[in-house]
Amino acid sequence: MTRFLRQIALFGSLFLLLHVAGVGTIHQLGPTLHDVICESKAPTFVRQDTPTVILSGSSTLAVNVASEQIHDSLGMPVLTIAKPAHSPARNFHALEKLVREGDIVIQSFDPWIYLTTYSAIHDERMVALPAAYKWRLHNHPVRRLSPFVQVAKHYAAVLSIPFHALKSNRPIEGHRHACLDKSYAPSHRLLGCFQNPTLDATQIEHVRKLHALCHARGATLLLTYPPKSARYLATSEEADRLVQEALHPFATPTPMEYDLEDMADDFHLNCQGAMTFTNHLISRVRGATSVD
Amino acid sequence: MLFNSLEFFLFLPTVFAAYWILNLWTDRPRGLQAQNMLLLVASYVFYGWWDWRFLSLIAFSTLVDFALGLQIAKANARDIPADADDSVRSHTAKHWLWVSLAVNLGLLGYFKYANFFIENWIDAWSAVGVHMDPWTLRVILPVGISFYTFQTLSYSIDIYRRKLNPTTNLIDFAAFVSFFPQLVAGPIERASALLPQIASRRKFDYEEGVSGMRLILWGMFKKVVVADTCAIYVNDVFANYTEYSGPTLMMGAVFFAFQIYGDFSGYSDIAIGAARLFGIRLMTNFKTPYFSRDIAEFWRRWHISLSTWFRDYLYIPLGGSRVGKAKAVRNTFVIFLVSGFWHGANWTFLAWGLIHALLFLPLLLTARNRNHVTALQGSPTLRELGGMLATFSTVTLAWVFFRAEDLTHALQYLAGCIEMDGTAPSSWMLLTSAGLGVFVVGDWLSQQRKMDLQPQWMRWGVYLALATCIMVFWNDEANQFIYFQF
Repeated sequence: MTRFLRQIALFGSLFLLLHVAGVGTIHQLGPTLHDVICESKAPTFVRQDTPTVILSGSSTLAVNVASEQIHDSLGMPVLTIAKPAHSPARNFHALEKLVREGDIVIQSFDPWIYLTTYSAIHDERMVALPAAYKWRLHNHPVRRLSPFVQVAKHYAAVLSIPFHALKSNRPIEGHRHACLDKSYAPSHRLLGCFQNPTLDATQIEHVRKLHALCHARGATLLLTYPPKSARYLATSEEADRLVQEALHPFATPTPMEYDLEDMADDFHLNCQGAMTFTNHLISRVRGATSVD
Repeated sequence: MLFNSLEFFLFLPTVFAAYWILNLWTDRPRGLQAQNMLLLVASYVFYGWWDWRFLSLIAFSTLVDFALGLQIAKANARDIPADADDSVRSHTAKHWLWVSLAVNLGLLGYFKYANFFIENWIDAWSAVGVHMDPWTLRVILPVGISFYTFQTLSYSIDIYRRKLNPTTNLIDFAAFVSFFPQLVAGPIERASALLPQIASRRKFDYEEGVSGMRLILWGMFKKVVVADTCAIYVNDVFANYTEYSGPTLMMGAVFFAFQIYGDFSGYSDIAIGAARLFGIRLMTNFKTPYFSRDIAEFWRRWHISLSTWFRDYLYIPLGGSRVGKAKAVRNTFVIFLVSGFWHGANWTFLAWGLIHALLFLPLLLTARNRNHVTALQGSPTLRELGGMLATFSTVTLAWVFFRAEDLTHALQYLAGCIEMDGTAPSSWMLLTSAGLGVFVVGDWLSQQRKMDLQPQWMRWGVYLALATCIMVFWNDEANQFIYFQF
């Protein structure tokens, strides 16, 4: 028995030593994403009985909106199912279970999602993100262990942003820190899909279905355009026009142009930008529902 | 309590320490009793962590079978002469056995199958134009009921067959029924194997302890790294199968084959390993089943404790394969359909059992069902490799029915496998496949018994690597083991 316990203790110590060594390596590398992220964990994932503001869409909504600000201004609980690289079809299935009378559904309207030229197949985030949430890449000490540290740090940082966005009610301070790397692959892919764009009828159909669902249940649907920097706005002009025409019967969201100083990267806002964008959303909700 | 939870990592060492401290007094009167009492209390805490209300069900089942076991043995002793042939049976004992069967299968039927029968009853009437108001019972399926029910049933049947003497010690019997490592998902132990171990003094053995820890580590790896990783893709692909292309759906099915193997054999390994820490040996439940060369061999190596249970208590009493072709075919269908239905009250499980029966039948009819009784050692021939691939493919196809929500879902999923439209496998999926390839190689080496890593530093390196992988892939919101639902 003594020998057995000694072996177990030795194994445990070795394992701890490796773990500590790994964590030590990171501290030498400077602050990680985890260190700079806001810690706000209000429960936004539970559906309440009162009319609710539901945020549905992609990272452009999950990251860019300060939901506490909406709650404070409108006095309504805020629930978010927005997640990066979303699929309108999947979000629609989730909304079918959630939407009730008096709700305000804010659906982000990222034009590339509605284009056949945007291929979800090649957007690894579609599969990688659920894995990232599950594996909690944002704070796994081992992911930072050398020799994988450079690669792991980059990918874990990128993948963990939405995780924090979902968990947090506030915009993320550290977003700029992680995302300003312009080699962030999906952005290049998005650029590509705006050339000679064609509409994806299936995705457009889901917006129509969502509109009908909200109408049937007595809820209000607001389509919101993701904030973009001027240069990206210019790139996607043709795509924006196409999608706006297709969605005209339901709503006509207008693209908003932001200064780079309000942005963390070309698609996501920093804290300051998020406050402005949230105020804009609150005005739209008030306009649509006369909520004082 | 889940094996892959923090609670269990506190629970196991605590019980381990208390257990072996009590062992110091097991040579004194009531010392062993105190140790078994500790096992019993620990097992009830382990189970009650999930829902303490269902402890009453285990306690009830334990009391009933304990009393019935004594009654059956009493009737046997009274009615059957000591020198009588083994096949002689007591009528009174038979009545008591029927009571045991009725109580155990009644509990199982109520908690597991009542709603299935009600729903199908209503559907059957509505098919002929008689519409009834749909209603179902609000019943929760108690975790592990199928496992401990079968364990207590085997106790009563073995006493009835005079292969086992009943225990007169209620604590020992209760500890046997609820022994926590295998309580909720097996292996389904026979009383003849486990009860004597519980009733006698245990001694800590270093080699057993080390092999137990190895099994826990390997089982945890299979669950946390292999099964839970595959689950990410499997859940997504099965839920959104209309959006994915044929190759992705095929990969989804293969991933599920590995998910269920990693999940269930991982649980069994942890259970066997944990039991070894307490000086108790449980039966092997899996022997690298995906290297089987035909479906008969697969069933000798997959969920062995259940398949041998059905063999001993259902197939052989029905006559097995030695009662003429027609009856042997009937028995084959019975055993596979019952096995499917044991897994759950859904037509998909019956379809899964039926597919396995149909795959097994040609082997039975051509007397080739015992061609591969022992595992392959050394390199396979081309024919054997083909056999392995064919068996794995057909088993994987059957798993689609096992995983699907209903038969329509399964059939549409399979139809989608030959479509090329839709989302192709992502590079992450391909990367995971490569990881599974490494796992398959490891499994093959373990079958070939080439895993005896020497020298020690290499062995410890592997242990540390496995523990590190478990930590990386660990999920705080631990995923349940699939077989808990059965």
